[in-house]
Amino acid sequence: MTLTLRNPHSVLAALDARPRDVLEVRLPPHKPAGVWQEVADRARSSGVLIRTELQSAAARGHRAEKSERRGLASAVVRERDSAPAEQLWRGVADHPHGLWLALDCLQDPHNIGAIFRTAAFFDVRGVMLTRDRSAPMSSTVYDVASGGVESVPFAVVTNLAHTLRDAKQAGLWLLGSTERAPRDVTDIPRDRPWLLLIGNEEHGLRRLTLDLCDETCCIHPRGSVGSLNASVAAGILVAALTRSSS
Amino acid sequence: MLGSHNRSWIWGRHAVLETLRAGRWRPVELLVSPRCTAELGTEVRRHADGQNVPLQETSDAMLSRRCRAEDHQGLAALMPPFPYAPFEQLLSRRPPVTAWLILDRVQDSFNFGAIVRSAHALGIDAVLTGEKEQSEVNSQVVRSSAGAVNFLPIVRVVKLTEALATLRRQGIQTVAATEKAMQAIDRVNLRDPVAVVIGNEGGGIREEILQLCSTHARVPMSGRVGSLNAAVAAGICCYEIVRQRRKP
Repeated sequence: MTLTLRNPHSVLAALDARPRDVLEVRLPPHKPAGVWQEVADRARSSGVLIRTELQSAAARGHRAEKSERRGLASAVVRERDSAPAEQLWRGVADHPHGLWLALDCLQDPHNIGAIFRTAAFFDVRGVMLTRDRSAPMSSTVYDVASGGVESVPFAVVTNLAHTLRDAKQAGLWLLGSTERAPRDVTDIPRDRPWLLLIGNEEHGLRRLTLDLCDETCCIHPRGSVGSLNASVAAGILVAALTRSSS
Repeated sequence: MLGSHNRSWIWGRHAVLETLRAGRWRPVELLVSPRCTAELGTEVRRHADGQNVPLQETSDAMLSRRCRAEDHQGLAALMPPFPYAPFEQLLSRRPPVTAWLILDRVQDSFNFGAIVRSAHALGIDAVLTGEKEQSEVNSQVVRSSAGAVNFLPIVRVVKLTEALATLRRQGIQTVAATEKAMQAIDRVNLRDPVAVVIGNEGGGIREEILQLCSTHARVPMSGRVGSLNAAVAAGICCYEIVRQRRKP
């Protein structure tokens, strides 16, 4: 499967990590601006096909929005292979304070993308996603991640509960995030490798997933006045869990 | 009456209902179509009566045509310009504002909405924005804020630099969140009155704003590459204020 990426940062990261999977870069006829110029240079030196798109064809269907997510230039990139879940925690002994993530049925590709970007920033060791009832690893996920998908290994699993049991066996501790948890994330000890579980945007973690957790945590103040967006909550949790270890 | 260019549509159960419940941003007109459930319709009619807003029953298709969206759930509201809070009023507020979040040209409506949502949920007192290159409170912002735009004061000023200078004169510490800073944000004392500045998605904070800030701080990174989404960075900074103030 191939993806059409429109964020130059996600294309640049793919060119760095796996240039052979970048099949084509499409640029508008005028000189590319900013990061796209860097993409063009890198593509040229890696021998990637560069195609000049006529303005009219490129503009069709894409209103020029002032946003990092859209533009007239694009690239066709092969999907990154997901890893077998057990490969994600193979290095657990080398990272006794490492952090892993599992996304339990997240449905908004913007959230998944933003979480990958956060995961790359905080050196998360791996991300697990559920195959069913999750948004797929689409081009939106890659573009919003702004390169994060290239540097964090991920696994797409059919049976999350089964995978979580395996993770526990391998030495990971399961930390569920839920508004109902009594402990704030800053009170979670950073003396062991945690696998942090993030739940669905509306319903949170599933009962079965929660039952497997060794510990749960929340973000204070909780619940009383509104809630947080799932990717923002994930960002606060990951920042807190990586902060106290340093 | 206002010109049509000053109006915008918001739609969907959550966005419209939260706005009506808060009663701060009064619609010009409400549209209800058969797709709206009876229970929801009753509450909407009650608010319309109470706030003296004309309500029109229409077809699902007509409602889609007028608000130009399909996912309206049988409910849409035509809105006048957003009632931004006056800056002076917040400056003289009692108890005083002790946590400001300042946005320097956040252009993406998803980010702007998510930031307002975080600010509200984490107890920030007010959000301050400029006008140039800054997303307005539009229907997308209402949606991605999960209705929080109705509950948190949002100020929009012509000159952000002047507003920032005013805050400094009032003794408020101004902290620029920038990747280029040497100091980590958790090393900065955020317990006293503070204004944290978040920059544009691509370009960060403008030089003139950076120069006006008393402190520069970054979100400590543990990986080797990358940057954070503006809404995520803002969330982490807001939480840091909460965390420091919670400790005895």
